[in-house]
Amino acid sequence: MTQIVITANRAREGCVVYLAGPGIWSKNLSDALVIEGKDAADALLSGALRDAAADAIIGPYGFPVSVNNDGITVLSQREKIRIHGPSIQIPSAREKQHVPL
Amino acid sequence: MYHYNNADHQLIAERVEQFGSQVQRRLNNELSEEEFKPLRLMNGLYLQLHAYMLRVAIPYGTLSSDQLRKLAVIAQRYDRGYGHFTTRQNIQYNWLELEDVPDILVELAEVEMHAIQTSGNCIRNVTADPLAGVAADEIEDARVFAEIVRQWSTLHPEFSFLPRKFKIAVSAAENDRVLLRSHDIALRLHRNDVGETGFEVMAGGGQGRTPVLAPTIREFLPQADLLSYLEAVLRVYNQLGRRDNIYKARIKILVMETGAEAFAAKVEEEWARIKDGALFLPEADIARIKADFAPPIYDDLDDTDPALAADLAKNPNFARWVRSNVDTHKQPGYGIATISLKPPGGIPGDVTAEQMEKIAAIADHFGFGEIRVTQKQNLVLPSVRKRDLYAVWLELDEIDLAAGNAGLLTDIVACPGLDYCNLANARSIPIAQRLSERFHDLEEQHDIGEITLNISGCINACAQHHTANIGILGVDKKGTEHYQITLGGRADGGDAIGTIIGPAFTAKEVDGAVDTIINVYLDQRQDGETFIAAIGRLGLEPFKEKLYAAA
Repeated sequence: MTQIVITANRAREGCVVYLAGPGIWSKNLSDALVIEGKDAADALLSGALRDAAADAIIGPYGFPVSVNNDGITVLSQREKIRIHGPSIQIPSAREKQHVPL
Repeated sequence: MYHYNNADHQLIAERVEQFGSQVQRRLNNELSEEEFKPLRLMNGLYLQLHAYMLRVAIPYGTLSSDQLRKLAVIAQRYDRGYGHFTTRQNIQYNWLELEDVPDILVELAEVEMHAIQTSGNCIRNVTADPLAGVAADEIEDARVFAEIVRQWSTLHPEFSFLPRKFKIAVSAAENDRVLLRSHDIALRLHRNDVGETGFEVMAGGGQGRTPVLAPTIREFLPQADLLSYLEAVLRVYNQLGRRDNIYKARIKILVMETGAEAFAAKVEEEWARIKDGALFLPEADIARIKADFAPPIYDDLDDTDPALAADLAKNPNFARWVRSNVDTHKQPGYGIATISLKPPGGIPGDVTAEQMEKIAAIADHFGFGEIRVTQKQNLVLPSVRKRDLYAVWLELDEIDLAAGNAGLLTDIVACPGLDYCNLANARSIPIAQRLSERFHDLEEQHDIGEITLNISGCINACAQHHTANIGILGVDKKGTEHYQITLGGRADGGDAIGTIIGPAFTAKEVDGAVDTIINVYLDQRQDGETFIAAIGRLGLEPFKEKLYAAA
């Protein structure tokens, strides 16, 4: 059966959050509720949309995951990037690679 | 350069205060996201994958060193120490929190900058030739007219809710450095048969999912009629542009569906009604703005400089940099120096706060404190004495920005792609970095010669891949990133939309595919033939054969 996690961005910081329980949003994927099946996900998504209406979060949606002993694994590249940040090293974090001419 | 008058200052101050109050109401939950979204977009504030992103306008791509220093301060204080220059003369900050945005706008206003109309369905930041005012190939300074258009279009009440976004570009040069025909309206200043300067007006161009090169709708528009004619075009679009389908809402669809001639006739009809009204632009008004763009006081120099000749002879890397990154200045003894923001393995358009501060210092020391932002995501020092070029290059090298690759293969244009953007299907930056590393050898790049390579992470085509000689488009194929390659696009006056060469490549294959394309060119080119000229002669078949031979 499809396993789904619900995500959104927090209105204040804009950061990525996951639905951890009714009205509870966490920055950590490990806190996320994993929902079995589309019907259950739809029901929780309606709750999430109410949170959006209450302005805590923006743009909730569900995405597929797989779960094993190591925890939740995200399948799509987009969601991997949302969890871990850009797949590249941001410029200010790059080591200076200066090679004198 | 142009400085704000009292009206500009008042307008920006009021706007900053207004948006600050809107943000506060949003933070207090007095405004819903639905209510707030159009307000934040009007102020250039997006919500991307990880955080809020603010797009700050750099009107006609001109920055003072003080403005660049302020951009560095904002990057350091509110973001993660860097900013990203876009293809439309903006800078984007990627990691903002909503509550900081009003303070950022206050700081920007201190240096006469803002984020108004950098988003939303309005007339966006007006772009211009980044070399305007100094290029040897121009007939006038395009920024004068870009500024006039900016004043007319800023918070224009009739055009604040257009069917879709609207982009205007201005050039007065022989060489197109603004992608004229990719704009909703493009203005090209030229001379008519009796020596007057006026505009060729093009309308209905754009990239995105339906790439269109704007047809010319008027060959010659007198300068005095600029604003009334623009108003007429916008009125026709505002009235007839489609609002029922976001994919058909741009003016390009209206012009295509109406036909360029019929569209032009509708514009003329509207224009006839308003032509000599309040928007008539007297010569005195143009002269007043022209005075704001008066050139700096140049030294009286010979065009050839013995010191430069000696530096060129002793350092081949410097000589390469001069060949690719220094353009001809209209003033003898000066050069226009492009600072490539594409170091080997770097992220196109990204600059750290430290680099911005250093560039501002170099501009102060060697270049009248002026910097330009280009559509190729590079920066420019518009007026450097030829004798100072070597010193400038050495200082740029200290911040790893001395690459002599402007206009060459690794001068890659890339959108932020899936690493940042909510709309993207695939990553652009890692592909750009891999290509940049693979082809980093400058001698090889100079041998390959003039070429454009642009990478967009989705069909919205922010990196303008449709008009690149080699265009790369990221697509999602069953959950994995693939890259479609187009060849033969160009935006150099002989404009063309590139043709898709065949099935898409995986992320791992794409740099090899570019390598194959380059090798076909190197094998088959004739003496002095550029990449795009070779494609024109050879067609796509030889490239297809090699690319898909093993399949």
